[in-house]
Amino acid sequence: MPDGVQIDTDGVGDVARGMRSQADGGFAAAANRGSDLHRHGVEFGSRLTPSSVVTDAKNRYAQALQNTEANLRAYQVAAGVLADAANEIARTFATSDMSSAQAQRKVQDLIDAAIRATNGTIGGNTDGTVP
Amino acid sequence: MAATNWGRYNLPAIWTMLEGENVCTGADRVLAWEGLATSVREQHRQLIKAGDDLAAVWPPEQNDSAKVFLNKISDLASSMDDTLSRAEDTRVGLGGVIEAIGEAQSTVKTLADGRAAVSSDWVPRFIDHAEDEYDTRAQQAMAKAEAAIADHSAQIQAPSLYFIGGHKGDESTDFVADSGSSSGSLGSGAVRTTPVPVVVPHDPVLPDPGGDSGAAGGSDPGTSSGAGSGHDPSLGTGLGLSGVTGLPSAPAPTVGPGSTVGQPIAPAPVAGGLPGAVIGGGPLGFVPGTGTGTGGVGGFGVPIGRPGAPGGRQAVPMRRALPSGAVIGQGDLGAGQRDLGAGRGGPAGQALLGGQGNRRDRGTEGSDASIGAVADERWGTGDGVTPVIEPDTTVVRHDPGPGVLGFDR
Repeated sequence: MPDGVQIDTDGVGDVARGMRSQADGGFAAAANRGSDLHRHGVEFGSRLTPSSVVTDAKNRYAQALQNTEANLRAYQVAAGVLADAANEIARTFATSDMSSAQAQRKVQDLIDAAIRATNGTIGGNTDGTVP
Repeated sequence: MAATNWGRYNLPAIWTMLEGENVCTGADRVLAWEGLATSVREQHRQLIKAGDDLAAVWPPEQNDSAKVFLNKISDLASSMDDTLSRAEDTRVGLGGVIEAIGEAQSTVKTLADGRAAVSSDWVPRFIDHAEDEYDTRAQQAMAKAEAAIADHSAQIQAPSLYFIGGHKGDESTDFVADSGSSSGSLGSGAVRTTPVPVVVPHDPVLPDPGGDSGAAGGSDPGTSSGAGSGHDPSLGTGLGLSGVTGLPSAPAPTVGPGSTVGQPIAPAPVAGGLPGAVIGGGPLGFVPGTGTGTGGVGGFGVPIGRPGAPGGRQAVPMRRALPSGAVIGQGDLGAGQRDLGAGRGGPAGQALLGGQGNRRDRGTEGSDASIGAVADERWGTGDGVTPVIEPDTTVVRHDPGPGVLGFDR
């Protein structure tokens, strides 16, 4: 156990596996629900065009649909990123002695690496956006 | 947000706007939002638990490195909480909107059925105005629904977009407010999803005023003036099959070059209309055109004394029918009935239709040439010869004969 880091790497490993399970299970299911809703789109007021009130409601609903669906996809990706990062932290900290500052930078580096790995896996764009 | 002037639309137009609404589908979507919120709530709970478990084995109080990681979890949890709250609000708002539309649909459907019944009766709308009441009630239903939609739509809100960033990103501004912000500054050390645009359906029943058929966000077409311009007259703004509502009426039906209604029968200065009072001369009292001197037994809405038939159309030789109340052979029917009676110069009763008796003598009247057809010819006869049968001038005595009681006593 390094001086500057108080960590139970086995426990962190367990959390990492739990988060991976969530990412692939519950988060994925939520993302699918969002995708289903998004696919149906706005299903009211298509012919009530004279009403600016109805038009505003449709626009608001469309915005809610697209942002919600995008977030649910992002949550699944983020949960996977954090799970991978936590797994790497558990593995790295179990075999390394680091100061607090070093550990802090290492954690950030591992998160960045997990993000890059995720981008490479899911085909994210160079600006970090995920299609 | 300005309320729509539903007074511009009659019930058929309003019903056309509403009939495609599917309340059942809307209810399904409300349930889907509820299911989504439940799912996100569960994942949020699991994430918080994972953070607590991680903090137990990697205490942030003693580890700055743990704070970095837990901050990521906290950011994700905060965004999930925001999305969850917005999803629940959206579910409620959508439910209210769907309910308002469904109520309006039900009301207008009932009114549409009632209006159809009064529209098909024998009393025209311009007499009983029965349709107007239904239109007004439909407009009131729409105004009520619109007010409810305005209240509920405020609950429909989009969550802020989430992204997870690396150390190159600003830890305090991980949440972007809108989807339009550039993600280039995030560098490759971030993951964010790109919102997929949702098409907003816009299928106008009537063309938008000003010809703008695009998305109707912003301006309120219902409050603009100049109602009726460029609108489908069959729905709401013009002469429809069931009438209109307080709008400039479409031009009265006129007789076009190709129309046969009210077509003059000959290119004469005194143009005729339809023969007799077949159309318009009936008991309803429409303009019969008798005795006016301008000819024209015009149908409904046909101007009196219209010019002759356009070139290319041939006048059809037709006999005029007698006006209502005229007596066959009686001549004095007024100057406008020059074809009849004494107006022709012939003695009353001379012929079946009066003045037609000496039509042959008028054979040179160019304007009446087409009228003097074979069916109207009356051939003259010679003066005859001296009679060869003389009447019996013998005086005949008529009496009851002999043996009759009471006579010669």
